[in-house]
Amino acid sequence: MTAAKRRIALISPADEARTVLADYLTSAGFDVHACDELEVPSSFGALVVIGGPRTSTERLLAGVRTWIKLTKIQRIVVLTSRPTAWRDLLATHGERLTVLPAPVFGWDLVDALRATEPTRPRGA
Amino acid sequence: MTRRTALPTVVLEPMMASPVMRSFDRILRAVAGKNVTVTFVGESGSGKEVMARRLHDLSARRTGPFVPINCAAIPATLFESELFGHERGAFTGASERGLGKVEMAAGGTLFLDEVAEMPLALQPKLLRFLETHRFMRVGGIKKLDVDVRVVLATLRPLEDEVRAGRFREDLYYRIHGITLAVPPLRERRRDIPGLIDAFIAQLSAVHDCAPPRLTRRVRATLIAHDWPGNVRQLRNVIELVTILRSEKTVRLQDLPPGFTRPASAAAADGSPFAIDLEQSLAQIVDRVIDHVIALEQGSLPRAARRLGVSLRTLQRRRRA
Repeated sequence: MTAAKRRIALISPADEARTVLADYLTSAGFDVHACDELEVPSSFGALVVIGGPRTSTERLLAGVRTWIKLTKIQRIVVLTSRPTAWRDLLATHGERLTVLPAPVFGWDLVDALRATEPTRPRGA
Repeated sequence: MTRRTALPTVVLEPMMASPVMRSFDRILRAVAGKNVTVTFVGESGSGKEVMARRLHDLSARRTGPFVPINCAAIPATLFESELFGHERGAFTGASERGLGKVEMAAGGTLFLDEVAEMPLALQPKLLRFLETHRFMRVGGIKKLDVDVRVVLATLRPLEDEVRAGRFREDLYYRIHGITLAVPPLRERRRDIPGLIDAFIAQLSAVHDCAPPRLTRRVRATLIAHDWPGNVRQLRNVIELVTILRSEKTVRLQDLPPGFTRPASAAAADGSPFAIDLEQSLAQIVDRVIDHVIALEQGSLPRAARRLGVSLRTLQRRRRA
């Protein structure tokens, strides 16, 4: 995993759960930048997006759609209790977008983030 | 449709409300950082892969990959290539060099599920790999090194497989490091309420439906059930009622056949309460408490009255 790919943004309302999750992802080898919102995410290898109870899914969808369009981020992982709302975006950008229905194990997030890492045999 | 407003959650450790699972987790924590082969033995659906993943998460290898392979699901003819990879032209259809699970797991953990199902002919190669951590791709001429921890799981104790001639004795002794028995769900009933809630939340999200409501009687029935298919079976039952009773109350008759007897009846006459004197006093007390709670259909105040203790004492004991 390159340094750029290790660097991820965790976009979620600030609370204790976010801190705990950021620590978990850090222990799994990621350089985690936790924030409420993200204007320019291009310096990250991947994004983890978790909506809060007052976050509208439509707003999250619009944000992710913009990031997909304007950046070359390889992986955006969305954790949501409304995965079906993301069906259309997944159909067109499934190679960069992963949608996980909450609740999930932390390692499911880690696996989704690592899914784009190239695994080539030595000497290939 | 009613939307759920609860914050989506990330679960960082498996459900471990029951004393037996808390003890199990203490052992996992103790062995996670040690360089020993761990074999999980447990019934189907009891969560062996979840425990293997937990072991990986607790170890220093958590920054590396966790690669599972189900030995029962791979045809014998493809097994070696699946495990060790292959060189270009190694066999018909091998148009490119292929990476095996062993290489994919470099720096992390390779989890061999249902290892007893591994073809007998391949077992010497696995033994050699475990001893040297070196392997050769199918069709290759060069030995490659890899740093990987191997964790195994089996439904049945491997001793039985050795006796039956289906598992090599030398391989058995090589992997006979630490064997951990994953408790079946019926021995960790205190985890069931939390698992029910987690599955309802996740499956109502997956199926885009409002969660169903479970009556106390249904909850008590689910807690008292013996779950031969363990956590996987519980998940399937919750999936069924989530789809069929979305936004409605789940009644006893909505559960699949076999669940229709009230918990109190099942606890009272279906499964006579017996004490296993091999268990510790604390474990026996926990079993008595769980049994009485099932008898009282999940009501803690009534269970406390029946046991002759205060509600607070009962709650404290359940948290212990």
